[in-house]
Amino acid sequence: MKVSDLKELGYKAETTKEMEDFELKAGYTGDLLSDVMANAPSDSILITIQAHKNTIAVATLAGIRVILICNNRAIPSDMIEAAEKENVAIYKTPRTQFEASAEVAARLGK
Amino acid sequence: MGNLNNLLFINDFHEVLLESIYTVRVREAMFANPLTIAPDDTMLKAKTRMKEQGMSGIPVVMKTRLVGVLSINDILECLEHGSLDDPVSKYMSRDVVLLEEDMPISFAINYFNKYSFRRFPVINKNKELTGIITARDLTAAMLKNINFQLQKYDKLNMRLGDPEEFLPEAELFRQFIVHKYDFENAGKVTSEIKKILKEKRYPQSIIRRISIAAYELEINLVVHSNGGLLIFQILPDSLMLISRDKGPGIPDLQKALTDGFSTASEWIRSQGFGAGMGLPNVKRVSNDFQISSDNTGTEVKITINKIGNEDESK
Repeated sequence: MKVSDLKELGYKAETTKEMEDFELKAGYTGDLLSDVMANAPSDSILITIQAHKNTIAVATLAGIRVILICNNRAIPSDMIEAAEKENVAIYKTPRTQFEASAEVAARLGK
Repeated sequence: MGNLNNLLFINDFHEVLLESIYTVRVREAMFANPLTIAPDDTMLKAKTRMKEQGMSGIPVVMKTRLVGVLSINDILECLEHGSLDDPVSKYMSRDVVLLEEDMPISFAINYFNKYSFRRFPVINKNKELTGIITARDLTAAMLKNINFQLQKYDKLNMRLGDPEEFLPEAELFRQFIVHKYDFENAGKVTSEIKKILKEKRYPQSIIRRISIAAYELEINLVVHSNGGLLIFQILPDSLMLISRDKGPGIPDLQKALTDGFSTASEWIRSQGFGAGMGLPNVKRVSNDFQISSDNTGTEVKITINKIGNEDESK
């Protein structure tokens, strides 16, 4: 799926770099950064409620290109700044991680 | 390498200095139980007494009450314009500023800056005279304390920045200081290592593994240790990471290496850490993993082979 598909799903871009044409290959859902770091595939979307600057650090390590923050969690400005710097896109949705994972998985054909 | 060691030293020295100023008490620096003189005693008696004790000033006490201080300058004044048979009360300064023995010496330093006196009588909680302190006493006590503390720190620094860590065959050697609870900078060391390896065109799979190890070790230093070092070396066949901290040590290594075991606080967990996966993650990405820990600190040493690990990557 392309990143632009996220907008079709109604997710809102929080960073200026929307990377709409980027081809996402996989997804991962989790809030424990060590777990994400150990198991998330590269070129993936991370579905999480962990709205924190450290999530960006972990994303860059793991090759995660998009972070989808669920439950409309507030996103701190230092997280957005870090994402802009590291070329990671952040999207936000009121949906739960379960719902968002199902939607994204369907688009990914998984 | 040298620069970082110096940096560590300067940081520590600053801490040592502050610690001295705030932890050394006036009691430890003062001249205790000095001889005293009564206001009705003669200047000759005062001069003799000061000479006996090698003091440049003597407290003047009436019964148990401190009424003044007599200094060498007062004696000189007496020799020039008066007689050594004159009473002490004629020359002493009555305007006495006191220090309390439980005060940190930061107060004394402040007093020496604020007042023109060269010595201050020291009293205890019951307002009884217990000592007298000069700037020289103060300096001596501080130097003694700083020296003692630096020796303590030196031992730590030797442990932290051991030059023998630098393997001659290393193509690159970097040491990074990681501070306790410095979440703001957590991850910077890992970024630096990643950048180095990217520039050297290492395979993505290797970069990811060393990054995971570095990041977990870095977070461990921030979350659990009193601060420490992360040492990174590129060796001919492998990449090596050493994490070494100043304590407090891991009470049960076996548990620390068990997936899911964590001693992290709620707050740390809310930051997405403390899932009990750090060390197991490090171990998983390493080809060789060694850990040792006691109450003076923990050392983790890992290597990742440069070739033959492609199957590990994701």
